[in-house]
Amino acid sequence: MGEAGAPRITVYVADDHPVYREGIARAIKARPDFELVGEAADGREALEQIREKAPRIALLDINMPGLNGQEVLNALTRDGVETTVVFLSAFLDSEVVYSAIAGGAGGFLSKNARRDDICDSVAAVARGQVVLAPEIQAGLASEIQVREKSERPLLTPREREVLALTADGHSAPDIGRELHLSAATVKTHLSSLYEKLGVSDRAAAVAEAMRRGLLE
Amino acid sequence: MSPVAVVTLVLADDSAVYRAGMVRAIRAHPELELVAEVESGEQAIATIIEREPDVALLDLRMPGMDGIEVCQRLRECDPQPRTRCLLLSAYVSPEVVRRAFEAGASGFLSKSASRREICAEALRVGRGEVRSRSH
Repeated sequence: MGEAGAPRITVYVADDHPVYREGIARAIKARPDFELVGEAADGREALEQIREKAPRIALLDINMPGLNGQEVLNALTRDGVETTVVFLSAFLDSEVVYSAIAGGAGGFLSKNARRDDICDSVAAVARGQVVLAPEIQAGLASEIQVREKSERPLLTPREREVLALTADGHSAPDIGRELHLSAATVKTHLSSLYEKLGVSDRAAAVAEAMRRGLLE
Repeated sequence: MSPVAVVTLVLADDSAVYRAGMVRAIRAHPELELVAEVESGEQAIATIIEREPDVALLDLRMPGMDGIEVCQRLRECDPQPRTRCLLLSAYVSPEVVRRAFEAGASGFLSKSASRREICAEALRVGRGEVRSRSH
């Protein structure tokens, strides 16, 4: 039990660098509110043991032999294991951070962080927070913005008008009258919209546009 | 019986956790003596010039000046520096190992090496028994 009588937070550690892994394991063991339930030097062993022990938190290096940290996270999610994964990495690449968080990681920490800060972050994740190293936050925000833009196809102003009227339930001839266009031209705009949205009919176009935030 | 000469070391790594682990290992080793630990390449250069240890145990990747640059700078200051550099790296590629040796490193180890292996290599490098490897 922890100091306040609460159950201790069970933690599993995996890192292929022994000096680092031992340092983290030592820090975890030194905290009265944590219980270290195991450690591994490769992702495959980590996955097996996390499945078996189901710790509250798995503190994983991103780059490991066998399975990397992201692959371990994906396997745990697929198998419905309730352990929350927190990544530790020396390399804070925005794409990797994005994939980790999108994949359900509870945190992404820098290996340059102090041991106490890493432990405090693990405790915060166990309480349900998502913790990101300060130096990766701006990069992650940019990554989200870049992906958001690339997800939103560039619709022409006319296509936006056709889309909005289609969403209001107007037929192609109605839209043509409204916009002073021939029905054939409206259909050309609709075809272009379908292609940009990756759909094949009007209902699907509206649904997809709503999902992507292209319709108000 | 003559006492065994101790090999003196300066450790440079920007990861506090890794540094703490190595400090423990070095302090526990009877033939190694840690004279300083620093967290950047710039601090490493200043400390190495001032303290002249037998070995500089350098993380390859540090913000600002990296481990390879530290080796280069030391050689620029003195073509045959007293301190030998042993580089530690999370990632090992033939290209990086080549660059390290061209810069004047005396050894190169992966961070997947154990504390015992790193200490043994530091001892070898410090005693001039250069047997470099990339682990």
